[in-house]
Amino acid sequence: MDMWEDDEDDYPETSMDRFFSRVFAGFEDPLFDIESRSLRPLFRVEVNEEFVVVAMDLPGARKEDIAVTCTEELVSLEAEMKKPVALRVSGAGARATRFERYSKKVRLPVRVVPEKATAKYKNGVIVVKLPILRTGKAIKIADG
Amino acid sequence: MPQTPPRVEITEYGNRISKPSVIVAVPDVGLIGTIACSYIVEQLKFEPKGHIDSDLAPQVMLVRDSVPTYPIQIFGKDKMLIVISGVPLRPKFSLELAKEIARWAKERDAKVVVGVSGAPSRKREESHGDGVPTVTGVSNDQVMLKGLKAIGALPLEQGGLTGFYASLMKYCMVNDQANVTLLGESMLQFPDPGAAAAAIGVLSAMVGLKVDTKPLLKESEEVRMKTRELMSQTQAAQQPTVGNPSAYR
Repeated sequence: MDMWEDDEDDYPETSMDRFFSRVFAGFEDPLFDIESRSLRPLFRVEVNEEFVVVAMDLPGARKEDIAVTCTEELVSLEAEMKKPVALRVSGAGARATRFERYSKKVRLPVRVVPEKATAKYKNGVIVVKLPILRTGKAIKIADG
Repeated sequence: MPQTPPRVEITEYGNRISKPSVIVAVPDVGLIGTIACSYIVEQLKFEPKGHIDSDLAPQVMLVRDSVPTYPIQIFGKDKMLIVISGVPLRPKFSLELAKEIARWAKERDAKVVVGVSGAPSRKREESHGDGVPTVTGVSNDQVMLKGLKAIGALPLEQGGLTGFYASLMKYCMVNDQANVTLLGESMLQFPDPGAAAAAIGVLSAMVGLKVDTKPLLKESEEVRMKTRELMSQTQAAQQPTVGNPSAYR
């Protein structure tokens, strides 16, 4: 039996549990929401000259189950996991909690053009590229 | 009045392994060392051999089967000791810990101290973790440095290290202790079991271990799930040095 379990009341320890429980401390965690049974994915935002790049780590999700939307200022992601996952999370007692989806809203550091956004998903990592919105106009410089 | 230096205390249990190879893993880029060394400890059934404590250590104790344990543990088997921190290290503690491990290794007449770390790679993120990540290595021992290619690592010719592994390297040099730092090409901010498996391949060849990494790769998604909290906390602990990856080229 592995962590991708439906029955949260029956969670025998796996070898993966054993080797991580040896080294994992389990802090207070903002990375999940028990009520909605959703995990907040790890994410990274990078701004380069042309794009805002948002990468999220979504192990256990399938491409067809991921919905990404964006506005000029916000990227929202909802993804169903291929199987519910039982994880022990801090603040939820000793029992494993079952999570079924990922959910995340990322506020962007600059405004983007949502219509021109692209996304690629592979190996549980989604990378969204959003062209930066250029609103300024070039000012012609006259001879002095 | 002179200040008392911060205390870092290494306690060992049971029979001592003489002239050990010492492998060290603390959480950093991609959790390469933590994942790789935890996997080796579990797969090869290393025994608990000690722990490290300090006034500077995070106020954390792990509880395993109702038994409290220190967050920095030492495991051993045959001629090998593995030091693993299960908690992220703040810079001050990181420095003192590296200093003490280097001193202790020299005192224990260690054959080599190997740090297992990650090198953040945009290419690896852009390829979504596809392909076989490279492992680079750096050593203060000329024989070991020359041997890196033969065991599948590219010698780091130019660049730098920062953080714990830089301090470990420095204090090994100060103590005239052979040191190798391995850097698995890693996802930038996500746990990367694929890179950890590549690092295990090089490490195994270096210190003579036989480790099957197929189960680690097969259970990669599980590992990423179970280490996400540690990854997040590690990033938080390293906030003052954001923008300074642990290795750059």
